[in-house]
Amino acid sequence: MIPAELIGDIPATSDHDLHDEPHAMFEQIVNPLREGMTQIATAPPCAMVIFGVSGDLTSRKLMPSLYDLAMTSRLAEGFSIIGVSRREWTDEQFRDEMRRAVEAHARTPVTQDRWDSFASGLFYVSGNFDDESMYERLGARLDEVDRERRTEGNRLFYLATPPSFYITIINSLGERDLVERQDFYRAPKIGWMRLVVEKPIGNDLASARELNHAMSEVVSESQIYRIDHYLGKETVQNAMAFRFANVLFEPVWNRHYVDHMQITVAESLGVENRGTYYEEAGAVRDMLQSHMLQLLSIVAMEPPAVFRGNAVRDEKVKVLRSVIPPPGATVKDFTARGQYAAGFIEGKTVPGYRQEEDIAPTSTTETFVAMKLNIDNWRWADVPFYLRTGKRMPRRVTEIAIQFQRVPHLMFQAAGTTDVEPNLLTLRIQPDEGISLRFAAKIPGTTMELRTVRMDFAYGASFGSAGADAYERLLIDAMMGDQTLFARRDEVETAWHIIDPVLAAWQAEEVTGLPLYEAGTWGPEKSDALIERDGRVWRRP
Amino acid sequence: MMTGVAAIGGADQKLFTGWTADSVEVTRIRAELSELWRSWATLHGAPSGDILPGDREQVFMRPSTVNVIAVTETIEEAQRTAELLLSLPDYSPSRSIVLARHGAGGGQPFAVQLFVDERVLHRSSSPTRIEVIVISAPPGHDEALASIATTLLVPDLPDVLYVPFEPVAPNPLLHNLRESCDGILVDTVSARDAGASLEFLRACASIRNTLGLGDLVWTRLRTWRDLIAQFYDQPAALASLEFITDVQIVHAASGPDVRSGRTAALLIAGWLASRLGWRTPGELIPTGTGYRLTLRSGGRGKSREVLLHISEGTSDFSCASLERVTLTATGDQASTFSVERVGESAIMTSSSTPHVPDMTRLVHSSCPPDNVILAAKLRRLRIDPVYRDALEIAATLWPEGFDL
Repeated sequence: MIPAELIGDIPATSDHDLHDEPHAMFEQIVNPLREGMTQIATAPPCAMVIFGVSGDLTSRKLMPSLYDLAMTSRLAEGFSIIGVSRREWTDEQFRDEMRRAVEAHARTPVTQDRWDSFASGLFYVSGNFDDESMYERLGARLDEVDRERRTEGNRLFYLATPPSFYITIINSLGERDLVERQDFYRAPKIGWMRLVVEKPIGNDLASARELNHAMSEVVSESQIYRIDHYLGKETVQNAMAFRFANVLFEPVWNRHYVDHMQITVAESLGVENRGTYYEEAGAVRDMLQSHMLQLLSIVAMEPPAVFRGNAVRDEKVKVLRSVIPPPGATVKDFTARGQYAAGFIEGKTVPGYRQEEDIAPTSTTETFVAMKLNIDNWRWADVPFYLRTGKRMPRRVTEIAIQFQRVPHLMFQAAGTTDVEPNLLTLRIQPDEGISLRFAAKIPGTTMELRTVRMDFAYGASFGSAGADAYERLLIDAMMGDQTLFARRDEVETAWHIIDPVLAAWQAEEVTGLPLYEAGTWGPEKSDALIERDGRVWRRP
Repeated sequence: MMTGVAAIGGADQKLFTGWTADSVEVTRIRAELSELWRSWATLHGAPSGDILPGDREQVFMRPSTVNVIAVTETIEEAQRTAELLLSLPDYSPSRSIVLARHGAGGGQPFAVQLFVDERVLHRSSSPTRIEVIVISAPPGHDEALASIATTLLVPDLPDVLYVPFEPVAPNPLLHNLRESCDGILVDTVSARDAGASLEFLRACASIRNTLGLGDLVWTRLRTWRDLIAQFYDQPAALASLEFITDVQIVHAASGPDVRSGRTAALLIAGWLASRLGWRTPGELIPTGTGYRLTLRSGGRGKSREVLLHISEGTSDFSCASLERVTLTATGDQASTFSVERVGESAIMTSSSTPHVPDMTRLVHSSCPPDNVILAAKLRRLRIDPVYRDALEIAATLWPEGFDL
């Protein structure tokens, strides 16, 4: 069977091999019993190798998601997992560890017979990531699994390790022929081979390029799946459905009608147990460079020809390329950063960032950032996009608010209405997922008095239950060879291209006192000043 | 007139009111519904439509989904259907209207019951309103029932005609309503006359191509179809599809509640035959242990026989659906693949192909209760050509005169 990515894409015509074959994007149905089952995503047989399997990501997300997928028959009969880490575990010990993780985090209750069935496909290889003999043992295990569990040579390599190991692992896989470079013209020797990497992809443009280059030396872009779990969220995908499956809004989705957009990703939590990571990353690297620029590109992109792989990603990249990075000298006019101090969240006192575990008492890591970006293209010229994200905000909320322009002429002034608020469209990503539209309406009575009202669509009201977990969705997509919801090399690098000048300017700036904001507030005063300078105000989401 | 709190449709308590009359007035139904909502607001301390105080703002709202008109024969059936509609785990209809064609009669022959409820269907969503209206009429008032039901529909929503029990012919009410609805949903699990029920659905399919048509039995088969298809996703197994020579389908026998897996067996046979291009020369032939039929596969000059066996099983876990399906291919591409329900929440697959060790696995598949199945089907009721193809063959398989 020809792997999906080899049908969907044509080979590199540039260094990125990023183009689609527009008329060959749909995988042919070869199994007649699959006809009509397009809504049932079932992964083909494969072996999944998880590097760093003893880590938190595997226990909390990957293994529970895989168990749930297996129990709901979304995975093929012989689906197998080979865990790799430094721990000296046997297969049995590995299975016991994974059982504990699954029992704690999976949706499907674990029973002995269910676990026995799932665990029969779990195997373990112990060793350091730079140990050549480990890769030999891994290769032997993969061959064995192919023979005994009909995985057909299909392999999904998942890098759930700290990013510092990525290049070592990728190079070793290539050197040991455990992965082969696959592209459009070359038929695979055995099955498909794909590589899944977690964010962060680098911590600046240079390191992102280095990592991407290392991967491209071993596999083609069509084999690389960069996970940003935000893209697996139902409501993020619904933003695309809202824009491109309805005729009503697209005609006004441009500079002629939109005044500005606000994208907010607020968390009420602090750094929890991620202090060490967060000290290095900060709000810009943790949230803005990845999740928020993904949201921006989805809400600002041109309509793709199809909802498939590179067609969508091409449009997202075009938007990011049109974003004007804040010029070095004026970074402070386009950004505001801050760090949370002690305060109150939901009536309880919480410590300041510098009092958190694993955080330096003199830390200058930002836990809040607000940024104004302009998109220099035909659709969005002169429309500012305001982005803000922070920890210890008053509430957890992610939303995209599209503020439309005021009416050009208010004909109701004589009747006493001197102003009406402009229309506002809000896409709520979480919680209370939905869409609301603010518009003016007449107050019942004998006078022509107006008031703004809200029209609401709530996901729960129309669909009831929640959709699949983001990781389940993305894992299945990777196994099926659908890259639509994964970040492409040029997306990641273009995002860093926007962020790098900000980080450089901040680094050059002597931080004598990072503005503090009280936990439970919407950020430092500089953030308000950033938007008020333009005659606008932040929404209270 | 009776008004009160009912524990219908599960542990949650719903408000209800009811009355009998010589005729049914739609304006009274609307007024009584409004009154019930006012009572609800009083009981729960917040006027409906207003924002609830608390740490999270919540706004009450009506689900924006579908209208359901359920057609039943008796008051008992109507009552059970109302319970089912009030207990849907999600995708509750915006309004459900349950009609009983053979009410009690007597001095005031029409009876009306109204149920209202507000529920949070998902933890991150706001509460939604649920309304179920039950109307029973004495025999011979089909046209009146149809006109009342259509007047009560919430505008601008798809209308689904739901037949929860066996469709009884002739049925002017069904005939009247099915012309104007957007979808028809039947549950043939309780069909005493499998052939007639499938034939009814086949006739519905011919009304127009744009009609959404569904059978909850088909929805219950989703996991089975998926697991069977999954085996043949493997390139090595795919080739054996053309060499299948034997199909064994074992289904649940009819229980005390009349529910059985008979139509499930016919539909799965119809699905395999339609997808794999097997030709059906006639009806199933009774044997001592079940039924059999020799189908033909392959084109001219390459024609082969496929022996289809359908029989009743004895398993306690069959969920009124299938117990086991086994597909055997012979010759160069020999393989055996079997799917079997082995527990209330477990299905086991077993496969055997040359040169590879035999494999078994267990997947979690509970016997979904009717409210879960109904909600799932309402959510995705659409034109399904694969189902229609399967139905077309299934309806012709069952021999006349061999029903319960």
